[in-house]
Amino acid sequence: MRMKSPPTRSATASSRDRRAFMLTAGTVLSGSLAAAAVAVTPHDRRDPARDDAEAIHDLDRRYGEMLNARRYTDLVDLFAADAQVELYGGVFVGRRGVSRLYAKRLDAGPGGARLDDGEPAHAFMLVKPGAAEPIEFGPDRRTARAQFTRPMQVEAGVALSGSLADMARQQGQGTVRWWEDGVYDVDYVKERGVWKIRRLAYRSAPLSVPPPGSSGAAPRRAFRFTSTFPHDPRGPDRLVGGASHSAVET
Amino acid sequence: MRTIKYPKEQLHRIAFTKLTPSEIGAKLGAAEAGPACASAYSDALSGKSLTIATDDGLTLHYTFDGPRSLSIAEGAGAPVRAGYGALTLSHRIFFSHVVPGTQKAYHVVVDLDRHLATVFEAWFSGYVESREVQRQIHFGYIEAADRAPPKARHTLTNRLEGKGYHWVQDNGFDTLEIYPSALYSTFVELGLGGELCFCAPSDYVKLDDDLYVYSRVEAGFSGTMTVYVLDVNEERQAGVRLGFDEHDALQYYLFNGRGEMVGQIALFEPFDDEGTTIDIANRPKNPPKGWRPVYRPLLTSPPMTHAEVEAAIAKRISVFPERNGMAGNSLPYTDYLVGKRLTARYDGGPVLEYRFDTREKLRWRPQGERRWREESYRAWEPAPDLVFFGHLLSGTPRHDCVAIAIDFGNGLTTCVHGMLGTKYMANEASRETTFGIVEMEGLTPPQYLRHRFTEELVGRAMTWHYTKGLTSMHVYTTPWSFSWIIFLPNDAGGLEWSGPAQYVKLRDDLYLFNWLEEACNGTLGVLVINTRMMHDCGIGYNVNKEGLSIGGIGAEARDAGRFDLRRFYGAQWT
Repeated sequence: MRMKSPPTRSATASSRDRRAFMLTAGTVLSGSLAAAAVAVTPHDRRDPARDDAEAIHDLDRRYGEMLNARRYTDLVDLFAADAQVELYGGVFVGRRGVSRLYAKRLDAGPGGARLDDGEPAHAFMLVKPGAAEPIEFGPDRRTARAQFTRPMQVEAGVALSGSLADMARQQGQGTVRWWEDGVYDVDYVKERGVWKIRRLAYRSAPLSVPPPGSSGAAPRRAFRFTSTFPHDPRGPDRLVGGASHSAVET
Repeated sequence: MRTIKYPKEQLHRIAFTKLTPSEIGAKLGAAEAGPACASAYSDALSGKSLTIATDDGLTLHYTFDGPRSLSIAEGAGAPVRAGYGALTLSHRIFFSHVVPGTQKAYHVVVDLDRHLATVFEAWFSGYVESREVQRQIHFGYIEAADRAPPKARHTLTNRLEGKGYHWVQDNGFDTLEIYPSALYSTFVELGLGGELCFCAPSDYVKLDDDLYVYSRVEAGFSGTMTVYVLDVNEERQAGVRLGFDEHDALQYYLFNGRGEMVGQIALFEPFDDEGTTIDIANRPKNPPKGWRPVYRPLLTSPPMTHAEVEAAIAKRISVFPERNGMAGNSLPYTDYLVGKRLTARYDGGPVLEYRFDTREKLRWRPQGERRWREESYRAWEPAPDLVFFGHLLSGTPRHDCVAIAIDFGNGLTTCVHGMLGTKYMANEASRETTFGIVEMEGLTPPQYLRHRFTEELVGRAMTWHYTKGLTSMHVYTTPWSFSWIIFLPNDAGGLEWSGPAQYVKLRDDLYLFNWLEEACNGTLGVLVINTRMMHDCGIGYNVNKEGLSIGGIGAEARDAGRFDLRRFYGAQWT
């Protein structure tokens, strides 16, 4: 069985790096694979089930890497054409909506247009070494579903104006960061032999295990979208009533 | 008795001429003979030849004909002759020269014992304000055919951070200089009266444990560059000043100076961080030559016209917004005033009648008027029975505000009355501070005792933690001004700015402090600082293109230390 061993970095260095990065580790398939898993036989050098699972884990890994590296334009290519992303009470629909979320809204970034309003931006995702969440495959093995939880460092602009704000922004600061558990519910689809993200729903949960070197800063109050595109040029396509909201309150 | 010639305009009010590159080039011709000096020049380099090789590729080939003339070749270029001047300090040689025919100068420190050199390459016409000197620091060594290049280098450092000095140059230039940051510094020109402190982007280089190099560029003011080597044990300096003064006259001179350390305050970066790199989160990947973070407040908050101010206020007035990063660590609001009726009578100032209806609503009127005006207010009790509150004065022509401290223990009150618009900027606040008494049933105020201005905070440094991700440090540098520094991600001091300030003593260890962000975003801030609790409460009053706002301020303090500065502002100055 082929194992991937992506490069690692220390969490201490990452906490100082605003460009952030993702800690990676070799992904290990858990024992609780979907029933469609096929044992490798001496005559089958490739295991389609494991290949699919590896591909999906690799997709998740690349999502995290691109998010951490702020490669938002590339990240959009991981999504299916009819994908949806739900977070903070908003749903971004289709390639345009997903692109609007990642390449326009998130890419404004701390230091950009969102600095004053306290809207959270996912700074980076910490992969748990050895994590192997089960993947449920559809009967045709063209769809799949998984849920995984990752410690997320989130940052938001500090709502303030004046000289301190100007000076902080000029130093690339003026943000507050905290850790939360990010719970990802993800549906996948295999398009022309390539697994894509079809639906991603993110919600926050209280941090279960503080990452090494984290300050333990308390999470911030939940943010929810209140207006949609085109009224908000970078807003979601629709709002979700009560779904995908942060469970974390200060 | 010494006579001080106070400047007609303080530094931040001087409209420095926007010299053109050609004007600067013409004026620099006089610098080609080398810098002037009130002391004797050093001849330590006479007859020597040096090649300085730096790590980023700059190579300078020098031949020193005597104490005032050299030839220089930059890299493979042809040598040119230039006038120079040199000083020695503790066996290090500092020399400076311009490159004739250019707008460039080199200020160089050589350590002949360790074969090390640091070059400050300086040039004009490298920024939209051509008069502002730009600089690039090159670390390197002195080449010699008979030895390998040394591995050691001079480095950037934080080992000067936190120190403060009183320097007197051989030409009489008399300053206080505080180094509260890894990339800025504060200076007070005592020879001009020392009323206000000002800030400048600065560099700090370590030569060894005794010797350092400091530089600053008075960005946003004259643009003049000062560079000096300082010996922290001998408390001496040797350096150069290059730029154009407020009359656009060339200033290019070497100086020796004697100093006195006036104190050291705490540093907050990790113990194993020696400041060899500056932890700026948004440093460009490939910074252009001379790149440095500079706070230019009038670029981020351009002056507004009166019409723009009125239009902004008509659009929005924000009164104590719920989400306010400056009040993340606010004291709780108090309902101490609810139900009270009082008259605040200020000596030579307003007489204000108040009815405090709720925790957030009051009514006020000038004594003698019948109409009550309702306002939103917030109040805090920063010490037992001492309340501080603030509110707008709606309908006043200059959109006034008041921030008032009332001591219910003795009936004294102080009012800071803020107004918008000065002769310099329509969005700049001004203030009048008056002392008085409170008339209220059950309270008998004193007849002669009043709150008064104080210098007890002068020299102190305190950090202020407003909210997660926002901490600054105040250095109360003069009785009439202070500076504030915002910390870098590694908690080293970062960008810094300054403004006029006033300090009023309310009680022992309790002060009313206000400041104006003049030639900046125009904010008036008023705080009550309790140095027993190390906490404050206060208000910020500001207008910008988004509108008028009055909001709370609240932060937790830590004592960062104290400089011995008060003696520089005593009665000997007239």
